Amino acid sequence: MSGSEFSFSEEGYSSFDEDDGYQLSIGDTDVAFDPDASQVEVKYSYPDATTSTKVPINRIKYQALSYDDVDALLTEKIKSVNGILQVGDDESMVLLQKFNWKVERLLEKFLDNPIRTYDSVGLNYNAVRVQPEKLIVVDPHFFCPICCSEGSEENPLTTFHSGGCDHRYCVNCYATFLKEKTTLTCMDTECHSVILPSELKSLSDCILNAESVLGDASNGLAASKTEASADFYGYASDSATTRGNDYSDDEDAAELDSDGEEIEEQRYLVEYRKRKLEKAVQDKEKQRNKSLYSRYRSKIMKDHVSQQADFRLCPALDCPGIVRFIDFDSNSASSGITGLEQFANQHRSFPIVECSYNHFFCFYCSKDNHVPIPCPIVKAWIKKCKDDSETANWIDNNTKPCPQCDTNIEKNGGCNHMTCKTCCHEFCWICMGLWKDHKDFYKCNRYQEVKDDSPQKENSRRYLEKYLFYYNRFAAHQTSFKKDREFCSKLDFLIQKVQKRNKVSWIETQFYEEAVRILLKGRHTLMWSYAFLYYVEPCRLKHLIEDSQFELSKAVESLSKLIETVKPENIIKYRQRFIKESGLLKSHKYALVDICLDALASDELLISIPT
Amino acid sequence: MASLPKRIIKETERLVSDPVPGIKAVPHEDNLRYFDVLMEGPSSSPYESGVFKLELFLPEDYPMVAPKVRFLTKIYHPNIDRLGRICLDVLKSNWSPALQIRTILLSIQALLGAPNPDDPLANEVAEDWKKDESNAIETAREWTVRYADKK
Repeated sequence: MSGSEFSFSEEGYSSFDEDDGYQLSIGDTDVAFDPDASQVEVKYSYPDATTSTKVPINRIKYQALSYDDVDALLTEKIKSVNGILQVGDDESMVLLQKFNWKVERLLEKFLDNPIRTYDSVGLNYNAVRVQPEKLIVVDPHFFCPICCSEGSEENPLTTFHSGGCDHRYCVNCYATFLKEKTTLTCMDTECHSVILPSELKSLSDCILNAESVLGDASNGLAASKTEASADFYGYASDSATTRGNDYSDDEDAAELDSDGEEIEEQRYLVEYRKRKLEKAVQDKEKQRNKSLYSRYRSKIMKDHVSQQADFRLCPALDCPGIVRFIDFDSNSASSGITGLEQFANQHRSFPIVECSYNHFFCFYCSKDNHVPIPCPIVKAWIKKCKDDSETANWIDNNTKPCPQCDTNIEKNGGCNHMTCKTCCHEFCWICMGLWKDHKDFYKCNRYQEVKDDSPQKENSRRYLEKYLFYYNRFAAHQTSFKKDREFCSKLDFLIQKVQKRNKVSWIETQFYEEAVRILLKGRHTLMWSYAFLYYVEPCRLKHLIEDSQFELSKAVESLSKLIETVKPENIIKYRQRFIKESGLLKSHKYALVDICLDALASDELLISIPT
Repeated sequence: MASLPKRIIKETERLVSDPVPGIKAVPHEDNLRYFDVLMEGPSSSPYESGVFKLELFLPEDYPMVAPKVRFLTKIYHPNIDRLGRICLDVLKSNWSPALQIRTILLSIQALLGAPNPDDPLANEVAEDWKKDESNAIETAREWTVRYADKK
């Protein structure tokens, strides 16, 4: 396993520039951004203001927004700036973009020298621009110097130019030229005339019209049309999406009821999962990619979000969720926290937010939901894992030999209670010890500190051993987490099957889904708790955390085992057990988080992070 | 390979029928996007006695992206590195589809006549240039004689 995986590989998190936006300080007075302007609910990064033992927690207030919400905010911001400048919405937007959406800076520069500010974005202060709808000219005698196509009386070329100049080119060349750009200018080498958003819209509409005419002409060959437009925007049309409507879920499920078509089922399952996961995001994405203009608009919005310190794009792969920071809560305020970095460095801070698509991530470091441990420890742990990844590489094999018969075993589920298929030996995947020892004597979550009496040269080996001890467990739960989530992704399909077979309603199967989600979250907390304990010096509190961690691992393994062994068609029979065990797991998880937060607040806890 | 865009055909035709003085660009027979370029050093520059070989390639997205150009002949110039890569704005950020092969080659020829050591690609050469310009020009002249073909 390479160390870089820790930057949340399992979600396929994009590689974020960690410093992105942190130079800006949160809470910059921004005239155009009134938190109340948006109707979206304001949430706290942790439901309660204190732990169960009444230790106060620092939280942040935030909103989970969608592209559309941010788009509306953007429009509002542009309007309010135009209210001051009185130069037109389009012009205000281009100016704002130039000044990285910093209203104050733009106003300062503009009031100082409007002509020069205009000039800097390719606008001419004194000239009157051509109306957007007049920029599209159909010309039978036009020769496009870019693609070298020539117009004729039967086949005239449609041309476009910026409202500030008269350098004409054919619409297709112009559209290709502009499609990946956020700063729109004339194609001519010497001309820096800007193309305003409304002018782009005019071009975009013209292209869309031409496409629909083309589509009608080919007598409703919708497929070729979608492909053509997909091709135009450089998007390969994915068969899964284009054929998406051909399947009706009911039809297919009915077909599957006739057993024995296992291959068909497998194929469908793969297809279904893929569709299910991607469809929501893709639909949005498709909508945005539909035209040149909407593509431009969504790019502008992304730029805007990444340039604002109080916005974060959800780091999950292709997730369009955006989280907006509103304020610190009263606990933070009373402990004198004013900046996000200061907030994140506090041990009792809780910067974990949830985007509209249910991805949890840390608002400060844009990493994984690393409850219960503070950002500085996460940072140290990830760095440590990166540095030592070569040494730890051997750990990343999915097979281990059975401790009794040496048969190689591949772990294909999340449960750590292993039974060898060859010799029926039962053991724990984590410590490779006998499973029966774990029932009342589960010690494998606890690192045995070695008495410091061996010679100095042994020390470095011992450090490595200690690290590997925690890393092993961290990595094992990470792998299990991935497997469990794979399982989670086909859950919808399974539940549908269960409903059909047992003739029960959707609501009656919800306990199962809930159990799987609770398991995922529990395992995740467990995973991070190992990273945390690596840095904690042995003390009374560490033992308390370990006790709580032990309880949680027991609950996690037990539920994991239940989920793995009970066939989906039988889950209804085991309903009570599922509910009981997931409830237990949930309370153990909260107990562990609570105890960690309590410990972090106490002076007794010694944390050694090497600098 | 997909058929050659009209634009490339037109440009190639014009390069043959109306060549740029001091520059010869010939496409490969088996790959019409790949050009062998011979460029005379501009007069009253340390490169004036030589003829330099370059390669030019038109990527798939040309003319939306700039052509790729590289010197094959060794040359002592602050904006051209040891691999022959050229630091020139119109080849990078200032590329516009309205530019052409001929205008790009002319810009490169102009760069030979006006080295810009303040925006260097070959740092050592640029330092020499700034420290002792006449000495650097002399080295450039020597390299031209040693590596470039005679005019």
